Amino acid sequence: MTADDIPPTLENNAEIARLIGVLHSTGQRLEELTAGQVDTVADHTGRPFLLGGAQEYLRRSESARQTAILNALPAHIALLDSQGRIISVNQAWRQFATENAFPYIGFGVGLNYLQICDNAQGEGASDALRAAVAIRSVLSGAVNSISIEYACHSPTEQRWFLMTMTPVGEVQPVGGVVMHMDVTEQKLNEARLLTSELRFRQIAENIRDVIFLLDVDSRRTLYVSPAYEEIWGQSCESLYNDPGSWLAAMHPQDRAAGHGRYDKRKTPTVAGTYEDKYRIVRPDGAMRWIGVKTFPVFDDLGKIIRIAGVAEDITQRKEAEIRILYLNRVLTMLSAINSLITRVSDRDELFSEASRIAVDAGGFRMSLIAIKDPNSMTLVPVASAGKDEALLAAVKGILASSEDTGKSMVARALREKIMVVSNDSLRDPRVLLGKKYAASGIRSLAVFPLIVADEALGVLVLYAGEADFFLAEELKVLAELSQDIAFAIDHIAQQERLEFLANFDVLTGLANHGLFLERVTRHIGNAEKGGQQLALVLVDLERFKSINDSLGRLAGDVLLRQVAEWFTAYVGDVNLLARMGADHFALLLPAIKPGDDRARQVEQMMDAFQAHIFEWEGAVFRIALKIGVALYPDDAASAVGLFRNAEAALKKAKVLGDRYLFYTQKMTESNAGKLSLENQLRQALDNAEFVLHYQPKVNLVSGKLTSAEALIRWNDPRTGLVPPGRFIPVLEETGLINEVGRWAMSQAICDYQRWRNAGLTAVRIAVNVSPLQLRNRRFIAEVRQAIATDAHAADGLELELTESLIMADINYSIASLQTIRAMGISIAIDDFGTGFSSLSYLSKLPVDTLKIDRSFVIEMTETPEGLALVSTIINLAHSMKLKVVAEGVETEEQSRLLRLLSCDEMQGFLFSKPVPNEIFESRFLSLQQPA
Amino acid sequence: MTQQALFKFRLYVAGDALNSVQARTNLTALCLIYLAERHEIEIVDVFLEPKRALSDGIFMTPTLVRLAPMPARSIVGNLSQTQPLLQALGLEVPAL
Repeated sequence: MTADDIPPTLENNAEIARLIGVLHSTGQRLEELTAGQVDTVADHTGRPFLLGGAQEYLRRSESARQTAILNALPAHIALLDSQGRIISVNQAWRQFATENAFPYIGFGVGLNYLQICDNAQGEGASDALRAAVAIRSVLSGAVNSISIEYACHSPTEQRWFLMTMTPVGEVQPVGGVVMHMDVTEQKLNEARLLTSELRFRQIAENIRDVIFLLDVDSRRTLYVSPAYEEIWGQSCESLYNDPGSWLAAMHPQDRAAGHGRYDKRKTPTVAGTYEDKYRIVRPDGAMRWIGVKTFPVFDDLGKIIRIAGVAEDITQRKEAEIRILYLNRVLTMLSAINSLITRVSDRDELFSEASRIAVDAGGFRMSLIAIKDPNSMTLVPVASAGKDEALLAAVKGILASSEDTGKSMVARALREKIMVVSNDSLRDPRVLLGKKYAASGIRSLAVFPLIVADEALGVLVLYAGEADFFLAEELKVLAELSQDIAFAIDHIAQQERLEFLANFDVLTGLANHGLFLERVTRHIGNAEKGGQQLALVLVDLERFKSINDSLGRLAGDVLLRQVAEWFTAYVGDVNLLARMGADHFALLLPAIKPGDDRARQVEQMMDAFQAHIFEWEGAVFRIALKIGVALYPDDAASAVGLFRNAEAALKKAKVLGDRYLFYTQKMTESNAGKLSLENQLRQALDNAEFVLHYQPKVNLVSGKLTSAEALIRWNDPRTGLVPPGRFIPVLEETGLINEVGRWAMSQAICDYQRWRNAGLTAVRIAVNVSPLQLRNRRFIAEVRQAIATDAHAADGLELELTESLIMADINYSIASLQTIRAMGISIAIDDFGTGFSSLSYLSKLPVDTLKIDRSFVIEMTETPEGLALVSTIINLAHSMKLKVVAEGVETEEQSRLLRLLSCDEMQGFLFSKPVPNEIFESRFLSLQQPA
Repeated sequence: MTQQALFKFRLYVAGDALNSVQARTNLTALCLIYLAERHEIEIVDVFLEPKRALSDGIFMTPTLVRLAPMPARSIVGNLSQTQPLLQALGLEVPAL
């Protein structure tokens, strides 16, 4: 290295120039002098002169560089001369030759490449010939460069090469460079790409859903699958041309509902999966439901660049959903209305609630119930519900105007008693208000007749906001529903009728006894608060019975109606009147002022009534009254008390012959002393007023007395013998039967013993046991006690129990009867055949005798079935070793048949009615013959 | 000379000749180490601009001229000996 401490000067330069001159003469020397660190020296003209070392370096380095570059290239490169001889080859060529056992020494350098190609044999021969033609055309200068792709498969792999030939030489080629590039990877990639592209196409074009890809920035559709054409009814091309056109197809309502989600100027970008459902309207006017799902496509930086999506035609599914929804709505409505029907008791409530439910639960826009007015025969809307008051008014107007109704759907539903449906009310000529409906969002409607007893009473009209709402399923449910409503109308009518019957007198329409007393009670409540007085006036139509008797019921009824009308007109308020009995009326005079002259009021009314002329078929009648009056609060504080006292006053008036009487305290005193029937029966027991009558039972073959049934009779000292139906039920009700039954049992035993002691042919006496007795836990003990009087007592006693009594608690009955029977007392089943016995139990019952109910005995002679039944009972009883007694035998015919059927004994009027003990003894019991 | 002083160099080279390439490489390396962010290098290829070398009075390549800071200095050679070079350029780090 040479370092100058001072900058070059002119002197220096001259000196250097001189030095250079010397150095040039000895180039070798120059190199040495500069220690090889200098590349050039300027000559005297200033042109740099490259020193030898640098020259050699540059030459070598250029060649090396070129070689290195060539060797670094992956392509196989050979340099050909103008004849096609290989001058040199690169590293890749050499390596390929080595690996593929190229059969030429020195990798082919020196050989003629054209000849090699010309002579090629086998598989690649045609490619080689093609190459030779191409190389020649380049070497001849005909073409500038060529490239040929060819396959060169090795036994182990598939390979493709691209051969290019470029000429060397500036004007006329002096040679050329042949390059073979392995394009296998590229080729395979292409093939893969083709396969993948094909697969994608097969997927995209064969799936019936629309697959699409959108570009976020340009908002263009990058891809849309052909299904788009089928579903949208528009070409894919149209979408590529106008990316917003799919949106234009969207149903306006859904676009509006999308809240700008589908802005034409934006591509929807959502970071996650996005789903939506909307409707489209196709160019052909058809509507389709679309279900769309989009997925964002991100770039490496996580920015959304594209949107991939699938759109599906979900019309069918949606329609099915809608059908289910509609059906659910009507089912909900059905259930709500049915529950309404079970609790509602008022017609108006039924109608208004049903209408409301149709709108609230059924989702109808409007509902209407109209009922035929029986007088004018026009339809009157009785209930409606809906969101549009003005429309409701218009509909009511239509119903009211008679000329339009004839043609309407409603008229047809009523006339033909069928449901009438319009599923497109806007276009249906039968729908009179189609446009108005449409303006109120009504698109379909149905009219259901409400049919009771085969007559259309009215209609239920339902208005739906959807077209095609009323299809078969819905109609089926709704028809059922209208039947239910009709049923409820009928039911309520019946209820009202029952209620009327319960509270009103059918003939006159006035309140009956019960309702009147209720009303009086209410008035008493008010009068008490107001410190007012009330008068209950009880009216008796004198000798009215004789009118009935002489002119007939019909005339009586007509007059009674006229009487009711007269009182209604006179009193002025039908609610203050009642018909209390056949010819009794009552009226309440409320709010009497303390100073009023009640007697005068009553007299005036009586005079007015008696002045009135009643008529029947031209005949005139004047009817006289008798009246009893009781006052609140003076005479009684309760309605019942008032009525009783008024009644007492009326009776007294009749007895005394007064026209009317006001109640006085004295009137009821005699009644108060009267004993109730219960007390009378108690006394009867204490006073031994009960007696036993005996009815004999006789053997059907021998006609001889076999036993007797004891029957209780009440010998009332005031009235004589009382029929059993008058007092036995009271004994049962009050529990007195226990005591009376006990008495009957001991009396029977007593009579039996007396007969024995008197030496008479004593027969066993059957005593009836009532349910109350059997249920009494002390009953068995009582029986035991009753027979304890004598060793033979049990032989003389039979207990009769009804079949139904035994069956009521079969296990208890069996146990009790076994105990009783063990005492030596025999048991009979009374009224057999009426208690629905289970035969399986019958065989288990510890009984001796079976008594056939009198109804079967009567039936026996009247129908073959009756005869067969009695025969069966007898056979059945005999098979169980039971004795059979026929009850209520009244004719010889019955007796003869029973004998034929092998019935054992009979009891009844034919032989004897029940008779007092003395008669029984004298008539049927003979002195026993000494053995 | 302050730490912030800017060094301006002009290197005259003869194409890709060995010494020229080495000089360029050595200068670049030296500047990166000692004069990071405060140097400018201008390369003048005498094959491409023979007149300029002449007018600048440069007769041999490679020659490095320090244009700044003043005074100007010229160094001929491939700049392979770092220590004398640093000294010549006034960049010698004092021995510790």
